[in-house]
Amino acid sequence: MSCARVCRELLELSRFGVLDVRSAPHIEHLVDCRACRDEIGLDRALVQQLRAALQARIEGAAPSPAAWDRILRRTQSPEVGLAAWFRRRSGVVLARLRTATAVSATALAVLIASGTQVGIQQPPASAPRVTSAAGERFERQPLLAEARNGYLKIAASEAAVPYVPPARSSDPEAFMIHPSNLGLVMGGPVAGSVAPSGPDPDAHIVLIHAWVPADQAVSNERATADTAAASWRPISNPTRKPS
Amino acid sequence: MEPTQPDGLIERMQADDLHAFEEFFNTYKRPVYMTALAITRDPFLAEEVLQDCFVKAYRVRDRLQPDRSPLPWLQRVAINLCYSRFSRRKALAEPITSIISNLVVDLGQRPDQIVESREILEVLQRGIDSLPPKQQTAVILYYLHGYSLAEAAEIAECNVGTMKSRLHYALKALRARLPVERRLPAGVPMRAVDELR
Repeated sequence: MSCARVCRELLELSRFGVLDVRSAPHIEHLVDCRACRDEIGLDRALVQQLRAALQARIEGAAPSPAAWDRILRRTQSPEVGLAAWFRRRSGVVLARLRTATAVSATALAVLIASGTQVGIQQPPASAPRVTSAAGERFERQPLLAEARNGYLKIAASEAAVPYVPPARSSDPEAFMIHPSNLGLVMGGPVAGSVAPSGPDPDAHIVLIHAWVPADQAVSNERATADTAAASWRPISNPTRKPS
Repeated sequence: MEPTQPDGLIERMQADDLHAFEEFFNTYKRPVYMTALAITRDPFLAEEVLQDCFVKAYRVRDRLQPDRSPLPWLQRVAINLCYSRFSRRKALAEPITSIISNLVVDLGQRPDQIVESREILEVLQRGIDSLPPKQQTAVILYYLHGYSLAEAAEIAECNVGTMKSRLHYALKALRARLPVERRLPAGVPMRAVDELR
């Protein structure tokens, strides 16, 4: 065993342990090694002096007899400060926290058990556009009238609304302007352009532009198959079926 | 070492018995005051800490465990109160070492030895003051109160190894403050000491 190691272990034994039979090798070393003896001796002397210095700090000192009276007075007076408030309220606060935690935990357990997924769902990018609905107002959107397969989609108020009659008689649906609103159409239907509507050379659509408040153009009425730009007229019966 | 706690003291205190609280105070005031005084070296400050500590104990009496000694907790509170006051004051109180040195010098010693003892004591007092709070606490708990390593570690809220380490570094720092001839083993010739100077 090296001197340094023995010395280190002896120091630890001397400070925190008891020298016993297991310390025999250390003691043997101590007998032979003066440097270690001196080192341990100096450490013990230091500890002795340290104890004396610490004892000197408290020698003869004692709390004053008035200490108890002051403590008693303070314990009998109401507490002030944030810590005191919290201590007073801690019972109520903790009870509320416990209740809130229990309720939240139960709700979470129910959600997990039922396999419910909670989250904010965004509409898919390919979601179909919504056509006008009763009472709906379109204040921000520009004219987004879109004709497709005979459907009319209206997305603006007081905007030019293209009327798209069915290209063919087999087309079931064409018209989405509420019949009761047709009277508002200013100047009646105006013939527009004729455009091909598909690979069939006979198929065509006639675009008729009229002015109508979009929030009133809400119906899902069907236009008759023979509706044509020239013969088009307001439909007065909203329940009218195509002939 | 630790004062004996009368039976049912905590329970009676928890039942708002002020006599029990007084008994509690009388049982534990001395070790708490000793700790505060050893750290602060200011009797007035130590008494303030003592009062705060027991007022706090009374206010949280419902949380004290009847089957455990409250002394480690009281000591911990006292130590924390001492250091929180120090951090507020930013500086230690002026040591009163000259007074207390006289109390510990062995009057049977030769005059030169008395002077040397006083000097060493003075150096050690300054050394204790300059230790970091954790090492200072370790030294006070272990060497002044005589707590075991485990008890001191419990009060200081650390493990035994950490407590040993704190004591080791504290002793090393204190030893480094001693005059060179007191630091070196006795076998080293004074010639070597002179070279070091």
